[in-house]
Amino acid sequence: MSRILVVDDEFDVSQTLAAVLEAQGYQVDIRENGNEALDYLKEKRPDLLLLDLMMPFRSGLEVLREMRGSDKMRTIPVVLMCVVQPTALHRELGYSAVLRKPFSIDTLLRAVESNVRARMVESRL
Amino acid sequence: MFGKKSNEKSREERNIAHTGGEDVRSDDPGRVKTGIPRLDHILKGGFLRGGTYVVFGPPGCGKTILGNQICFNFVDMHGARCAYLTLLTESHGKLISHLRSMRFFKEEPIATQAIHHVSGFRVLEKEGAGGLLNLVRDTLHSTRAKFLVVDGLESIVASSKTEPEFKKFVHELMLLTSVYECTTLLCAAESGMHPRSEATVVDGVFELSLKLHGPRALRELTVHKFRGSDFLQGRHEVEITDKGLQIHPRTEIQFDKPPGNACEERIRMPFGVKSLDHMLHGGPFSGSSTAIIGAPGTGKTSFGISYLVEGARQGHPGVYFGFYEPPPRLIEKATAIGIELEKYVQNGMIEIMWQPPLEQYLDSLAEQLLEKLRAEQLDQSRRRRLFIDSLAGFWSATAYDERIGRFLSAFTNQLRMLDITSLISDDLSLFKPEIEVRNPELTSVCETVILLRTVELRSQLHRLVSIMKMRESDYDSSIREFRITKKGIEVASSFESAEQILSGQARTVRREPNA
Repeated sequence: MSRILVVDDEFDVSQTLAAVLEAQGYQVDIRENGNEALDYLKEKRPDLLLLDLMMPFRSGLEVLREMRGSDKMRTIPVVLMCVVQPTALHRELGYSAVLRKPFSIDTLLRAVESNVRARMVESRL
Repeated sequence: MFGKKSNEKSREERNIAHTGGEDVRSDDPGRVKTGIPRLDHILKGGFLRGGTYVVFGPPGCGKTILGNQICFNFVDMHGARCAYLTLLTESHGKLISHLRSMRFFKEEPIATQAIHHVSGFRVLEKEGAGGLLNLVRDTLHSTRAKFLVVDGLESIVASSKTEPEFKKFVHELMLLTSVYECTTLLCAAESGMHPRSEATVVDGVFELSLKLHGPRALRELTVHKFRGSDFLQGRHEVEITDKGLQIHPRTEIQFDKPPGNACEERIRMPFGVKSLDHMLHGGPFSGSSTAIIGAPGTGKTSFGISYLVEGARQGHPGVYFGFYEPPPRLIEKATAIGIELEKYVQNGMIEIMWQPPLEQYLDSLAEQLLEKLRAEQLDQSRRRRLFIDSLAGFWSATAYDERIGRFLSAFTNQLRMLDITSLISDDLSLFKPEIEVRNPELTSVCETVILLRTVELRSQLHRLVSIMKMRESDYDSSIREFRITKKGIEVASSFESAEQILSGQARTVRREPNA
C-alpha cells in the first residue's frame, strides 16, 4: 500500500484530500505546516508528498529546499499544491507535478496515480 | 481681488487647494502609503510606519479586498514584503481566485512570496491566542514583512475567554509588530453598536459600512480614530470595481480651507448672444460661476452650448459636463439651432463629458471633473469654460440631500481656484407658476444668476430671460423675450415685448429684423 503525506495548513483541504485518497486505497498521513512535515520526513519516507506552498512556520518552498539538500529526502517525489504558478526557484529545486488550487478530484487522482506508479517503477529498477 | 497675481503664486495656491489645504508629503519616511485611491489623502499621507490599525465592517463591505489591495500596492511601491494572515475558514485558493478578477492582482508576488499568505485558523483553534502570536512572530521573522494583515480578528475575540484577554493579545501583537517595524492592519467583522474593545489600544480605527439607501447599496469609509495625525473626518464614499477599492473623500471636507483668492486678472466671458451679453455688461467675469435656472425646455442647454462655443471662438477651451443629453444628441441639438458645437468638439476645443445619471457617486463626479481640469492646467494663459448640465445630475448622485449646499460651496470654490468660468444649469418646476428653486444654495454661491421662464399669452408660450443677480458688476435688470431659432438664440434688444407679455396686453408689436 502506497503511503502519501499531505501537508497543508488548511484543515478542511487536507481532511478532504485524505478521505479521497484513502477511498482509493492509499495510506495517508497529514501534517499542518512545514515544521511538522520536516519532522515527519526525518522519521518516515512516503511514496509521495502533496505539498502546499503557502503555510505557516515553514513554507512549502522552505520544505522543498530542505528536502533537496538532504540525502534522505532528496528523491521523494513532490506534487506542489498552489494557487499560482510555481517560480523558477521551485523548478530549480524540482517537483513532479503541480496541482493548481482549486483542483478537481479527478485531477488529484491522475496526478497521484501517475507519480506513485512512476515511483514504484523507479524503485523496482 | 481684481489685481493680477503672478502665475507662480497661483500655481502654489492651487496645489495647496488640490490637497484640501494640507501639504501631503509623498516622501515622508514616517508614513506608509496604502496606494488605495485617495485613502492616503484622507490620512494626510498614509498609515504611520509601524502603526496598528483596525478596519471593521459587515461581510461584503470590502475588508478583504482592502487588505489584499494594500499588500499588492505595498510590494509595488515599497519593494518590501507583506504577510497576509487569515483566521477565516475560507481557503487561500478561494480567496485568491476571488482576487483574480481584480486589476491589482498579480501572480508573481504570491509565487515569490513577496506577499506571504498564511492561515492561522488551525493554530488559533489548537493553540489559542498564544499560538497565534508565535505564528506571527515566526512569520515576521522569516519573511521580514513590513506590512501585515490579520484577517478575521473576530476569531480571536471568539477564542478569548474575556475581553481583557483579547485586549492583551492585541497589545502583545502591537509590541511584536513594532519590534519588526511592521505596519499592521487588523480586519474584523462588524461589532454592531458597541464600541470595539481593541479601539482603545490600536493606533487607528476605520469603519467600512455597507447599507441600502433605497434600492441602492451604499458603501462608506469612516475614520473614527487616527493617532498622531490629522485626517479627513466624516463618511467618505467607497466604490468597489475591478480596480479594487476606490474612496471618494467628501468634497466639502477636502476643500474646507480654500485660500482667500487665487484669481488671475479677470475679463468678461460673453455668451455669444448679443443682447444678453449687453445685459451682462459684456458677460460674467472669468473665474466666476453663473447659475442659469429655468423649467425644462426653457433653453438652458442652448444658452450653455452657445456659451461654450463662443468661448471656443475666442480661444477658450471648454468642457460640457452633462448628465441627460448623450454627445450625439447634444451635437444634433446644437446644429439644429445653428450653433457650431460639432466643429469645436472635433477640433478639441470643447470636450463633452457625459455620464448618465444612474448609479453615480457625488464626490466621484466632482473628482472626475476637478482632476481633469487640474490635469489641463498647464497652459496658464488660456481661460477655460465649463458648463454643468445640470445640477440635478449631482442631486441624483447623493445619498444625503443636506450635503448639496456645502458641496456646492466647496466645489465652486475649487473651480474659482482653477480660474474656470463655470455655468451651472438647474431646473425649476415645469408646471408651477411660482419660481421655486430646489437649490437656493446655488444662487448664493454663484456670482451671477440668470432666470429663464416661459409665459403664456394668447395661447402661445413665450420665453423670457432676466438677470437676477450679478455680483461686483452692473447689469441690465430688465426682462427680455428671447427666441431659439435655426440661427441661434435671439434675445430682444428691448424689454418692450416682454413688458407686453407680462402685462397681458394683447397688442401686436412690429419686430425689428435683428431683435
